[in-house]
Amino acid sequence: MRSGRYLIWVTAAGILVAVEAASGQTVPSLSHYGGPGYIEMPSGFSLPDGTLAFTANTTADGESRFAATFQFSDRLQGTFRYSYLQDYFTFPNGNHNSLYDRSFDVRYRILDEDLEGWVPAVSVGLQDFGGTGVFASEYIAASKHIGSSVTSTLGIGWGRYGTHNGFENPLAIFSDRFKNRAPLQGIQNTGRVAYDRLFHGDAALFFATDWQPTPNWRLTFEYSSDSMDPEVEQMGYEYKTPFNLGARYQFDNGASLGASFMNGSTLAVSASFMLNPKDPPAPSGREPGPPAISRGSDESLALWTPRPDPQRYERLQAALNDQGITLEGFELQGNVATVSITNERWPASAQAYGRAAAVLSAQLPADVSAFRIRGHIQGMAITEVTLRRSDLEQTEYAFDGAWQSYARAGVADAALTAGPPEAWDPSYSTWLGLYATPFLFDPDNPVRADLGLELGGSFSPWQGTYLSGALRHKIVGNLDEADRPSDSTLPHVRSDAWLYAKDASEVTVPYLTIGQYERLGQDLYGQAQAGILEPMFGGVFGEMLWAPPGQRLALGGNLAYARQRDFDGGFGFQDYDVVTGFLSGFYDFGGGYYGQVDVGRYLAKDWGSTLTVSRRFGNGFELAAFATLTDVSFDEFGEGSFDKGFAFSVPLSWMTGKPSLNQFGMVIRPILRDGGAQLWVPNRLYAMTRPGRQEELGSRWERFWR
Amino acid sequence: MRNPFRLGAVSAPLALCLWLAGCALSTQADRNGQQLWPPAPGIDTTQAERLIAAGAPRLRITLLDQGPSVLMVETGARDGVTRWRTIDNAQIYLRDGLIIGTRGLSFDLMTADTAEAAAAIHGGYPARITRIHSYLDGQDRMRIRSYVCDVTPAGQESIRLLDGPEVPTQRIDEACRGPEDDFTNVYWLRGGRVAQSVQFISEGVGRAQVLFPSH
Repeated sequence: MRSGRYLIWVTAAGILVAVEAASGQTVPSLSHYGGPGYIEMPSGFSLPDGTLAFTANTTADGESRFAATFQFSDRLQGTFRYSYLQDYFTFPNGNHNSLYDRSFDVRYRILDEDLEGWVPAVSVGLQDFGGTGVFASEYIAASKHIGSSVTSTLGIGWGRYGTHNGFENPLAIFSDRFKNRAPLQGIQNTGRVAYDRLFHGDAALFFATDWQPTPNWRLTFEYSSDSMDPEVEQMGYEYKTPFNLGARYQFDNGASLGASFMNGSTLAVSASFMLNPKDPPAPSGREPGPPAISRGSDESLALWTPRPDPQRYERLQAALNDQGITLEGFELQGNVATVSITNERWPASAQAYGRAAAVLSAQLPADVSAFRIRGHIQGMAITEVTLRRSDLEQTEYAFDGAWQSYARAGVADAALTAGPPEAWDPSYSTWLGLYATPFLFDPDNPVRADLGLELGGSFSPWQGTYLSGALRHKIVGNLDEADRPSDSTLPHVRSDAWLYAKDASEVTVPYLTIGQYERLGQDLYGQAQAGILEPMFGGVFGEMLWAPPGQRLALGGNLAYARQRDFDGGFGFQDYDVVTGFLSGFYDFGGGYYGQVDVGRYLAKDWGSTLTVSRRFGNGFELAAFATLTDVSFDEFGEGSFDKGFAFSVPLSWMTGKPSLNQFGMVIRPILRDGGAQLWVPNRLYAMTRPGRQEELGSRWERFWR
Repeated sequence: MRNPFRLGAVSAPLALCLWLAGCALSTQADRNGQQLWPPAPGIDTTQAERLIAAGAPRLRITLLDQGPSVLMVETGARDGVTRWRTIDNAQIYLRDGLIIGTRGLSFDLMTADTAEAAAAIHGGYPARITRIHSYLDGQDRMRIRSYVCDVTPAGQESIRLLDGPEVPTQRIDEACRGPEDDFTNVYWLRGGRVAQSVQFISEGVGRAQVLFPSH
C-alpha cells in the first residue's frame, strides 16, 4: 500500500537467503534451454511444483542463453529465455550483427513416473513457439530413474530437435501436411504462434543419461538430435558429432555450476539456481514473539466508557503501535470494546488481529469481555473480527488454538456494522529509498537501468483521503543511452518510454495524486485518484470493486481520463489524451490460481481485452502472465504482434523473514509497445484489499498466535 | 553463524546487563560458551529489563544444533503454561517443563500436544505415548507432525544446574519416531520438576537444551 510498489529492491543478500531454502538432489537438472533436461536435450521430468529456476550459460562460440522457468502447476511449466547469438547476421559488406532473441517454451507432463515400476515420466514440450523461431522445436520425452543415481531419457523431436538423423514425420499418418515444416519467419512475425510449424517436418530421436556418482556431482552424456544448423550456417559453428558431455556440481543451497563439451568442438559453461516460493527462508518469521493474553486491569469499565481519558487512550495507542498497529478509533459499550485499527506491519492480517487482541486483553479492564476489531486499508474498513476474552484465554496455548480461535471468532464485512466515531488523526509518512528502473531487451544493450533516490511522502488529513507523491533523482544509470525512436504507427502511449529517461530533468515526479478510498456498501469498494497517476500519464481515475466473501468471482470496473505527460517528468502535459476504462472479472480458481479478464478501451484508444493468469502462494509470493489482444492488428502493433509479459511480486518479508507490508516486483515484457496498454495506477482495489478481505484473512489465520 | 535468537543488531548497555546477570547466575558461563545476543534497535526490552530487575525466574536455553546459548526470563504464567523470553523477545512456552511452543526462531514450534508425554515423564514409568507438533509451512498453513514415542526411565544422573550446584536427578528418555523425522528428548527430573532437558523444537531449529537454576 505504501512505497513498496514503487521500489524495486535488488539485494544480493536477498537472493542468497532465498536460495537457502531450496535444495535436494532429487530435483532434476536443467538443460541449456532452462527447463529440466541434460545439456541441449530436454527430459520428461518436471520441477517440484512451484519451483522457479534460473539458468545462464554461454558457449565458447558466443552463444549465451538466460532463462527463467516456472513450474506453474504440478504438470505445466513455462520458460522465458533471452539469448544472444554473436555475429549471427552477416551483411554483404562483411559486417556482423548479433541476434538478441526472446523466446517462450511451455511443457506439460502427460504421464507420471512410477518409481517402482517401468512407467517413465513423459512430457510434451513446445520450445520457442512464438518468437523468431531460432530455437523452435517440439518434443516428447520419456524419462526414468534407474536406481537412485541414474536417469535416462529417450525422446522424439521436431524442428531443431529433428535435424540430426531426421526421418519422415510419424505424424504424417494422420495428414500429409505434417511432412513439411514452414520456413522460419522474420522478426516482424514474432509473437505469433506458427501452427504450420508445430510438430511439422522431419522428426528425430534423441537419448540422454546422467549419473550422480555423489549426491553433488552429476555427469551427463547425450546423443543430441539437434544438428545445430543455425549456428553452423550463421556463426561458423563446428559440428563434429551428435554427442555432448557434461559435468555439473550441485550446491546444497539450490545453485549449480556446470561445464560441457558440445558436438566434439565447443566448451560451454552454465550456472543455475532454483528456489521455491512455497519455502521462504524463515517460514515462521524472525519477528519477536507476541504479547501474552492477559487478564486485564482491575479498572472500572466507567473509566473507558464510551472512551477513556487521553492518558489511557495514548497508552493503548502506544501499546498497539509497538505491535505495528495504528489505533484509529475506540469505543466501549457495555462489556464490548470496538476498536478500529490499521495494520502497518503484518503481511498476514490475522497476525495484526492476534496482536491487537493481546494488547487489548492487557490494556483494557478485565470486565471487558469482547473485542470487536475493525481492520482498515487506506481508510476503508475491511473486516471486523469479534473475539471474546474467554476464547482468547482458552485457545492461546491450545494445540489447535489458531483454528479454534478462528472458529470462535465472529468475522464479518466491516461495512455491515458501525464502527466507533473514528478519531482518525491526521497521519503522514515519508520515506527515502532507492529506486531502480530496469529497461530490458534493447538489442543495443539488453540490460539497462537507472538507479536513484526516491523521496516519497503520504499525508492523510482524514479517513480515506491520501495525498501522496514522490520525487526521484537519478544517481547512476544508462537509460538515457537508449536511442530507438519508436516506429509505432499508433499514438506513442508507451513506445516513447525511453524518452522519459532520456529527457528526464534532474528531479522527476513519478506520481503525485490525491486519492479517496471508500467503502460503498456491503462487498463494495471504491476509489478515485487525480493528479500525476504514473510516469507517463496524469489525469483522473475511478474504480469500483465488488468482492463478496465466500465467492470465487469478483467484479470491478474503472474509468479514467488520462493525458500524456511531458518527457521531462515534471508537471507539463502533451496533447494526447484519452478516455480509457475497463470492466474486470476476477476469478479465484482455488489452490492459489487466479484469473483476471479486463475488457475495455486502452490508452491508444484501441478496444480489446487482457487475460491475466496468476499463481499466488499462501505467503503472498505471486507470479503472473498476461496477454492482451485488441483491435490493433498484429502488423499495426509491430514487433511482438501483441502485448504480453510476466509479472512477479515478492513480499519483502518472504526474503528477510521480518514482517513488512512492502512488496517488490516487476513487470517483464519482451517488448513495450503501444497496443493494449493500460494505465499503471497504483493501489488497485482487488490486490490492495485482498490481504484484509475474509478469504486471505482466513487462509492465513494460522498466524493469529504468531 | 545463523542465530535464530538474534533479531537484529546491537544495543550494548542492556546486553551487558543481562550478560552480567548471567555471570552472577552461573559460574560456568564462559566454559559453556554462554553468549548473549544483543537485541536490535527498536525491539522493546523494557519489559525484560523490568523482569530482570524484579528477579523473575530465569532459565538458559542452548540451541544444540546452532550454538547460541541465551538466558530467558519468565514473563508470566497462565493455566499451567509458563512463558519465557529472551532480551529481544524470542519466546518459549513450557507446560510441566515440556516445550509446547516457541516464537521468533524462524522455524517455530507453533503448538504441541504433550499431555501424554508429560504424564509419563512425571509419572516416571515406561510408556508408549503419542505427541503432536504443529508448524507453519511457509504458506501460513498448519503442518502437523505426529510422533509415537517411547518414554523410558534411564536411571540416576547428576547434573550441574544453572547456578552451579551439582545435583542428583532422575533421567527420563523420550524416543520419538514420526513419518518424516525422529528425535530423542531427554529430561532430568529433580523433586518432581524438570531441572534440565534436551527437547526437539523443529527440523529448522533442531534441539534445545533448557537448564534451570536450583531455586
